[in-house]
Amino acid sequence: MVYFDHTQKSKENIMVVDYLFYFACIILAVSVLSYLVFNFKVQLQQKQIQTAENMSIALGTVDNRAYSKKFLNYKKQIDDFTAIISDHKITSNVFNFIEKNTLPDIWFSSFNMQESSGELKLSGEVSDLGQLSQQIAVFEKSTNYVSTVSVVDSQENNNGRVSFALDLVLKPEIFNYQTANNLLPVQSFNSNN
Amino acid sequence: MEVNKPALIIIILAISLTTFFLFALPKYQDSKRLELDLAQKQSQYEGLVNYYLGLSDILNKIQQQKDVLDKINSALPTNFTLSPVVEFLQQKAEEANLTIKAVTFSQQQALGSLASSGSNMNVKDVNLKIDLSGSYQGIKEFLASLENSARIFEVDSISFTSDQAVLPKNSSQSYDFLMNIKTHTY
Repeated sequence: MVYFDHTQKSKENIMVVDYLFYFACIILAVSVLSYLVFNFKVQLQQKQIQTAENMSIALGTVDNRAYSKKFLNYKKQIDDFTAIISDHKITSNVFNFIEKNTLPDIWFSSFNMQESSGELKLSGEVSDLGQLSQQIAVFEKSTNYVSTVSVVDSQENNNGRVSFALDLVLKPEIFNYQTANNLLPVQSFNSNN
Repeated sequence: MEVNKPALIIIILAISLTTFFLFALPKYQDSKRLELDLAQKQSQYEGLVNYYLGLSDILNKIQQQKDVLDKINSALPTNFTLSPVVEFLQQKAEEANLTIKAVTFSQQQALGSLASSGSNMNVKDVNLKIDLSGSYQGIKEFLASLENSARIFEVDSISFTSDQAVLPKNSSQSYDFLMNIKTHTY
C-alpha cells in the first residue's frame, strides 16, 4: 500500500514537472516570438520614419522655397504698406483749418509748419489788437486740433495795423485722414467771447 | 540519456526572462518611441503639405489682386530711382500751375523693418526738398495731389513768407514755397 502511494506520488510529480517544462517552453517561445515581432516592427517603423523624412525633404524643393520667400516678401510689403498708410498724414488739413478759423480782417504772410512736432508759426497783420485777441481765442477754442497758442510778437505798424507772430502747437489728430471731412466751417464768432 | 527536467525548466525560464527583459522589452519600448516619432514625422509632413498648398493658394489669390499689388509696389518700390519721382512732382506742379525751382534729394534713411517678417527688406525714407513758386491755391492743389497719389508722400514741413497777404485771402498771386517731403522705398 505504501509502495503504491509512493508510485502514485512520483507519477504526479513527474506530471507537474512536465507541465512546468511545457510552460517554461511556452514562456521561452513567447519571449523569442515577441522579440522577433517587436524587432520586425521597429525595423518597419524606422523605414516609415525614413520615408516620411525623405518626403518632407522632397517638399522643400527650390520651387517651394521660392514660393515661401515670395510669400514672405508679399506679406512684408503688405504689412509695411499698412503701417505706412495708417500713419499717412494729410497736411492740407492744416490749410483748411486755418482758412476756416481765420477772422475776416486778418491775413497771414508767413507760414511755417513742422509736421513731426506739430509746430506752426504764423505771422501776419490784423486791423487792431482786439481782432488779434479774438483770433487767438478762436484758435484756443479749437481744442480738437490745437494744443497751445502763444503770441511771440505783436506791434503796431505805421499804417495803424498790427503785425503779429503766433506759435501754435497742433495736435496729431489734425493730420488724420478722417479729419479732412471733419473740419468744421468757421464758427460765427461773437465779440463778447 | 537522462535529462534533469527541473534543472532544464530553471534554465529555460532563465533564458526566457533574459530574452524578455534584455531583448523583447527594450524592442517594445523602442517600438513605442518610434510609433510616436512616426506620428510626429507624419504630422510634420502633412503640415508641410498643407503649408505649401495654402501658400500656393494665397499666392494665387494675391496675384489675382494685381491692381492692389501694383498700388503697393508703386507706394513701396523695391528699386528707387529719382527721375520718376521728379517727373511726377513736375507733372503735378504743372497741373497746379506751380513752378518747381529746385528739388534736392537727400540721402536715403533706413527705417528698419516696419513689420516683423522673415524677409530682409527694410523700408527707407527718401527725403526731398522742393522749392516751388506759384499761387496759394496752386500749393493746396499740389499738396492734395501728393496726398492722394499712389506713391505715398509725407509732407514733413512747409513754409512760405511774403510781405503781402497769402493766407487766406490772396490766392492768385505768386509766392515762393519751401517743402520738405518724404517718400518710402525698399
